Amino acid sequence: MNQIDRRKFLFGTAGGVMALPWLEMYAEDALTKKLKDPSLRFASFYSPMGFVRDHFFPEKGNQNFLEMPTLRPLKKVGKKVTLITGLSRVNVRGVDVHNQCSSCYLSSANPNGELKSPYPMDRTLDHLIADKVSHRTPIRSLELNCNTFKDLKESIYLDNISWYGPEHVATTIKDPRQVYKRLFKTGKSDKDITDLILQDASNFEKNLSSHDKDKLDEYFTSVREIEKQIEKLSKYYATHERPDMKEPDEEPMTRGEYIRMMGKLLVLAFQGDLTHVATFMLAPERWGTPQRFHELNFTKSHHGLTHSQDRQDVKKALSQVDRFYVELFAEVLEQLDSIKEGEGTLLDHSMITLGSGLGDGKDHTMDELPIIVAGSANGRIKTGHILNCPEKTPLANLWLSQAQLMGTGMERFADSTGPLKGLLS
Amino acid sequence: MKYNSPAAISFMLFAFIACSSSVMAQEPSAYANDFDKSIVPILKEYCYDCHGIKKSKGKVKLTDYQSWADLEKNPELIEKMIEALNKNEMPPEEENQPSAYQRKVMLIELENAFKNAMAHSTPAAPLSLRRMNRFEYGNAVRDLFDLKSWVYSINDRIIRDHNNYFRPETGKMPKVARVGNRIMGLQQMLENRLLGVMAFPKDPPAENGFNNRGDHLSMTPTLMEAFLELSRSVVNAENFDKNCQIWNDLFQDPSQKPLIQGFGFINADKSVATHSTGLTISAWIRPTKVTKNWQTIVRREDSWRRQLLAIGDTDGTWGIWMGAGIEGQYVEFGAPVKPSYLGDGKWHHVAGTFDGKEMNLYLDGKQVGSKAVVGKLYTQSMEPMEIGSYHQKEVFHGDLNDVRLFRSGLSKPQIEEIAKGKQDVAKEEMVGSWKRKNDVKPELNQPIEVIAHKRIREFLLRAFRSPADAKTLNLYTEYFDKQYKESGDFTKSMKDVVSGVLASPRFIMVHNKASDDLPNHASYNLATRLSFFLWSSIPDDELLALAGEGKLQDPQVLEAQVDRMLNDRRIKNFCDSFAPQWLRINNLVSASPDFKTHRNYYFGGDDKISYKRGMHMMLEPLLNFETVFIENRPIMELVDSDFTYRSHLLEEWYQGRAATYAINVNLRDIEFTRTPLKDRRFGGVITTGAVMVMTSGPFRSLPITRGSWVSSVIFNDPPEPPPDNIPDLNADDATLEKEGLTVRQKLNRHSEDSQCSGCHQKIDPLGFALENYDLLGRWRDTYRTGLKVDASGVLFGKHPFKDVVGFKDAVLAEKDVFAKAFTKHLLSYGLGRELIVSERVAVDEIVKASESNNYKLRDLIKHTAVHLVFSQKMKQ
Repeated sequence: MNQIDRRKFLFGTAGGVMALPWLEMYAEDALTKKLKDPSLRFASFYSPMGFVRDHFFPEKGNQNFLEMPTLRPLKKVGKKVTLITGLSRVNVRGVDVHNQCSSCYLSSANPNGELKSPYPMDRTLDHLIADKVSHRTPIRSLELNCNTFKDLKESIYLDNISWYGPEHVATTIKDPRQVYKRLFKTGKSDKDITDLILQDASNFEKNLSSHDKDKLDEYFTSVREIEKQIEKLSKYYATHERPDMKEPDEEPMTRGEYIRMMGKLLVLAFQGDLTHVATFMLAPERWGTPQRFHELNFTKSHHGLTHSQDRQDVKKALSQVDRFYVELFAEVLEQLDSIKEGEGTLLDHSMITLGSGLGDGKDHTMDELPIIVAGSANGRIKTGHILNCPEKTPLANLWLSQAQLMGTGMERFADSTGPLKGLLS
Repeated sequence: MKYNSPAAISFMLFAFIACSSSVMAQEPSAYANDFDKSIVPILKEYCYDCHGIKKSKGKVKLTDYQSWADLEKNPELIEKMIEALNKNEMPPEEENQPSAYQRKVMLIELENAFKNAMAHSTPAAPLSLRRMNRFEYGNAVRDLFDLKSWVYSINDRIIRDHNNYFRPETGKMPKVARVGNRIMGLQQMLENRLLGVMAFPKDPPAENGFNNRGDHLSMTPTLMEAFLELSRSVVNAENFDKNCQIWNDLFQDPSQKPLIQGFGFINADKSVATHSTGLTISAWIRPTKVTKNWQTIVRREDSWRRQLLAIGDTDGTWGIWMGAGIEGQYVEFGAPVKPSYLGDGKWHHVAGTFDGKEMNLYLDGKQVGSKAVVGKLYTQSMEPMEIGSYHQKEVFHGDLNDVRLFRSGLSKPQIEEIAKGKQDVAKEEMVGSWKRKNDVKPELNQPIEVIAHKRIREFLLRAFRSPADAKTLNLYTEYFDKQYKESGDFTKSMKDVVSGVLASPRFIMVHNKASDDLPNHASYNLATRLSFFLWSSIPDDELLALAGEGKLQDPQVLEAQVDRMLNDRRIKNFCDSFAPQWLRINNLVSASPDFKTHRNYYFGGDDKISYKRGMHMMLEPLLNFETVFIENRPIMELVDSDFTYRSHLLEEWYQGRAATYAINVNLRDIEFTRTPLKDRRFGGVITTGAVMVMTSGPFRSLPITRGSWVSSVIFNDPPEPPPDNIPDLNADDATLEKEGLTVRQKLNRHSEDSQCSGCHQKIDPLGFALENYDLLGRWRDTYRTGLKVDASGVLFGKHPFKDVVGFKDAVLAEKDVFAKAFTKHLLSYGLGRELIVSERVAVDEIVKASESNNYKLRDLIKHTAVHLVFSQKMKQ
């Protein structure tokens, strides 16, 4: 009995279901003696401002999406990839469209609800999933962001797809050295100090208004989360080897090298079961700043390009940017697919999405969002084809399906009308 | 129209006000009828077509409002209507316009309605709990420990001050400011800071706002990890102990001898280093021991080019010694003094001066020695001037007080004045000063725990900005006792306590309401609000003491305190935080004029794309802002000034004399000189290269971006987000040349689109007014195509202008609009949140209070800080 209580304390349980402790993930099923299904990994990649449409979506009837100029880099893992068409999100008019499309992407929150922020925001899919599965891993979730703009002039909404709730951003990590530290260093627990400040915080709370109590709650949760993580990580590294990876240094990297490094860290995190939930921003929404794309040999504003894509030369450059990001995404998939795990590969035991909050960067539509899902989620998703959904199918339907596949038991997700038809095999 | 002379109109208005207010007082029902009589006919004729039953553009449906009472339920709408009428935004240009008289009637009626609406509304929204941003955290920790160094190096603070130019107490900006640009410059982050302490990531700004906004400053595990790490790495940094000036009062084991730290330090600067002409060190001393060994009064090291003032013996001469690097040599000169005279237990004044010709030494106002040395000062050290020891050697035995450092050699009469006890001698020349705060209190004969608990109580007051209640105090004192019992190490145990304090929400989270049970809680709240507004940091001892006595809310005390705060050098934090964010100057970091076509924007070699003229440009508007602040000038000078600060490189640039080849200039330490301006096309903040470059694209100026900038920054009226589907302007150089159009002609066609015209009517004239500045901030009369630039326009539909000078005149004619807009920025920054509609009243009052004195910047800040919106007890 004592044992169970201790476990409960360490890992927490969500929804009252006592979950399997994370170190026993690969245990055999007691009855069948077969290996249980490997744990599913969830990652959501975000690419800003949509993709050039006619380089991304094949014409109706053409199933051969892997021949599309932007999607060609996915060929090597093409059989494990699904292109989904017809998904859309309701655009709230009168507020900034770019802010909205990134910050609301993963929650797809109901635009008609009562808004606690300028945009309809809510707890995002990754955190709803982490609430359920984080007991399996030492790290609750990873929020990675490949925004290297030095000016930091744009708002928080453009730079974040992962939110704990309205106006409560999940701080992203942009520095590979910090990701490395998070994954592979144990950290120093200082129980004395955390006990002290938690005690102080709870005395403090008694004098607060309800709004301020919510703010303090962020503090409580954060302190506890860190404590838990340190404890779980040190326990984890008591029995696990650290991967053979050199700590990233301060050497300047090209845009491609940098994103590749972040991707590699994500793969290692999934491979080592350090976490099962991640978000990955390839670049922030709308930043009006020109960016050096070393590999493409130009410095251009991605956002600027999307607005002039009617011009052939601009469209060409924009397609190169699109393809550049898809290539880097494909590299992550290839790495996941090269790692054997049980009877399949790590990619087979994952559900990795690449998408954008805009269907078209020029017209700012939120219909026909470009979405690719990779990995079959332990064979449950039908892959290697185009899934054509009826027009204006809520994006939330896909999120609902993913939430269900990740075992949240959710029956509705924001404005979903049901799980996404045709997704499963 | 019957009433068409101004006198008749004003008479009419007067009668109208008098009449309507008396009606209001006596007959509410009659007043209600007024709605139909006075305002409805105008609305019907000019507004209902677009904002009525048929259409409700911009979600405004005026037909929904049938009485004043209806309308007064929606003060936001009233405010919108007032704005639109004031700036002639509505009805749109092409529609029928109400007469000037009708417009005035509407405005007066609406203003009345707004006031009525406000009478029923809650007066102020509370400030909500938020965490400190990284700029504030760094300042707060530095002030909490009275550190000699920075906590960490961050580029949030753009200007790096190399000659201590920022001296608000003098009321005067010096002619020369030697500065570096941290965010665009090179090697600017190498400065004295705590070793191994890492800042957390920079906080993003709110949309159209600042980075201190409560709703954006949330806590997350990733950040909490950083805060926990900071709480330990700060106190355990290997150079923390010697940088912490409250060490002996907090961390030092009372059973041990105090850590020899000297007395303090004065932050010296370049003006007393390389190539400057003079130096004066003045101090009051009371030695308790006169020794043969040297005792330091002031010193800093730079291998052989040190600077110092000391007493002691060298080569058989006992006396006062001064040393300084002058040209290529180190000169040390001593004047003989009787040891018994200095050692008599009384205070004595000593001073050493060097004026480029001779070194003079003084004792109690009398010259005691003189030596001819010709040359300039030469020291490379940027270390602070240490007082009473250097690196804990050659320690001064006894007391020192009122140490002053000047950047020139003071005259004999000036030294005499100082020796007589005069305080403000040569204030303009003063680099810095140090005074003893309190006499050191001996903590003898008390149990160590008692001493520790007392220290903790005092520390918690400063860290938490109000006295800790018994429960909180116990928590930390018991924690100390436990740690001390285990380790027996006083310093370590105290550091553990302090780590806890630094990670406590009471420290990290600001604008918590100090507990209602606490005496004078409102005063403590006010102290914190003021200090975070003006200093981006925690309140100092004086504010806390006044709060503790419940005096801070006394209007006279409050005003005096705000004045003091505005004169304190910590006000630099306000300038460093508010001005760049208000101007959105970070946009310049990423402005990238095409490297090939506009090669001369880049002044380094082909491999040095980061050597941008923007590095210099960025500092011009910031220094101009600081000048308007320090010299308390009217904020109109932010628009139109007769001075500006420019570097040599910048001056050449504006004059079109810039070198076209790669040049080698000092990037670290740039000399900006105050330049008088006769040409009104330059100066202020708007027409600086910085703003022009950052509102341009890689190939051309962007008038709409400029218009949007002016609208958001100068008039605090950011345009609505553009519609989703924006047609491409197709205005690249090649297309324009082919079509033979200017950008303006091209854009006019685009703006004719009715969907776009509403906004573009508003922002385009603001942008085109600046069209004479090219994408690199230089003046042009024609485009490259030879077509003439057309910068004419009309401001708010009432002030026509031909060019940018006319535009400046138009803005000056609307100075109260600018003052209100600016005050809204200021108040929103001060409160750390978006303003609510009822705070428009506060804005009006602040502006009104500053009007008679011509809207001076310090006045506006002061009236904001002392306004009730800041000090009143907030409703929860």
